[in-house]
Amino acid sequence: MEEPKLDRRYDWVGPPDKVSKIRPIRLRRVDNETETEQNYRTTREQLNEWNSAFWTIHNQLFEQKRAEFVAKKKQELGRLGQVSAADMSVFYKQFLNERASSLRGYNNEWYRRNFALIWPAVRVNWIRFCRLLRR
Amino acid sequence: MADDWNKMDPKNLLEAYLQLSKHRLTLLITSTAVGGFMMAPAAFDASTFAACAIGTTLLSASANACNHLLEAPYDAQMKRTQSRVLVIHRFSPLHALTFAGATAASGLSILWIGCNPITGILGILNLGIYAGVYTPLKRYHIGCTWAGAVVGAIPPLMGYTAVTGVIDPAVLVLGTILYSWQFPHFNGLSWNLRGDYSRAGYRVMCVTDEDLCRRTTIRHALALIGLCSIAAPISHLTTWGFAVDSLPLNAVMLYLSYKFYRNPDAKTSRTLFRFSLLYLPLIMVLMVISNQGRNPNEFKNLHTLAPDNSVTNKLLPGSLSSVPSPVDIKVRPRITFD
Repeated sequence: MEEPKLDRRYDWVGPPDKVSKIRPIRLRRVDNETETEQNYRTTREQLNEWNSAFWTIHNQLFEQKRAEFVAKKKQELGRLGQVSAADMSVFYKQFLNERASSLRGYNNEWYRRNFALIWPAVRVNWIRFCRLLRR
Repeated sequence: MADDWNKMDPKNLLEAYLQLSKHRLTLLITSTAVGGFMMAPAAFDASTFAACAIGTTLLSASANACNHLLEAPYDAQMKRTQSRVLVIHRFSPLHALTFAGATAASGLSILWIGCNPITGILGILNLGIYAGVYTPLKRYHIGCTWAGAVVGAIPPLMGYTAVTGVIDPAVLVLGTILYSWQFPHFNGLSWNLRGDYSRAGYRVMCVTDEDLCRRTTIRHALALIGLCSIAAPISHLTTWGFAVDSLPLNAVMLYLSYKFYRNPDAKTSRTLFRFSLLYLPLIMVLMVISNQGRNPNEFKNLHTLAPDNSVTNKLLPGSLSSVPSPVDIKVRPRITFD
């Protein structure tokens, strides 16, 4: 994937990833950015990438499993059979339960990592505010 | 917006805030609180009313902002929610969190001071349950729907206690009506979204336990009849007139719930959901009309007891402002004088 040339003075958000549906982000940076700011920026961008990676795997798995289920059902139903919503609901329940522990782990980590970024975000905003005052 | 990189820019900040606060849902919640306010057995007091409405709106906005924050990646997965402000990064999570904090603080203050502490506590409790219990629970356990039903039941309690300062059997019936309503409402809505919910990891009844989904729908539709036609008049929430005139609405609700129970599909669920949206304002209007506390007949009875009709003060026990002499208070009791 090409890295578009983006003006570093602004925060950017990209189009949603085709598989993970998560949008990539690039946060703004100044030339003399402090370590706090740099840590915050990289941590937040990494969190977003980790987020996108999880959903890529998860969604791919969903599509794959769904295709397998539909193929199997079609085999059972014969050539003219239609897979109904009721049939699909069996798959939906199955998939959700299979992925339950993985989703739980993801959610716990999502909450934890976002919560951990609150205080750094406050500090970065304070630094930016002070910089603005100095101008 | 679809294929390019864009600057994170709120553009129209007001519009972004309206979305963050889920303004239509907030309006519905505030209207149920207003309904609770109107059901309280007392004279209408404009400043308490305004405080109740504004405070509830602010707390609801805060709760919804917290929901956006917690669910951004899940919202990104579903078509219905993929354009929400935090999914498309119109501003930073900290910005949204600040919005949530500011609205919560101001909402709580307005309710605490403009109404009374009980209303304030109920409000912040509701915020806590919505953001801290219901939203996370959706990821882990089927009980999330029950938590959500409690969240829907509390606003009318807030409106009622804003006036009376106490939680009595009548207001509990009112809350329970809204609690039961939530089941046909949510089950109808979620049935058609099973695929999306499954992939996005929502542990809701329509995916994990369809039989329970169908059973709770019909169970609570039946409960609504009992609540409206028996519990409401007995607890003096409404007159017996309401027991009768609520029957047509409840009959339709029961019928549509039964159709969904027998044959759950896209059509029956959608019809049930749409009707539930119509049902709520209609049942509240009927209740307010049949409010025992505001029944003009009883008001006439009271007037014979208190000949001095020049009421300058409409304050009641329970509000933080000073309590005037009982002779000056225009209060209509719940029991009839016959």
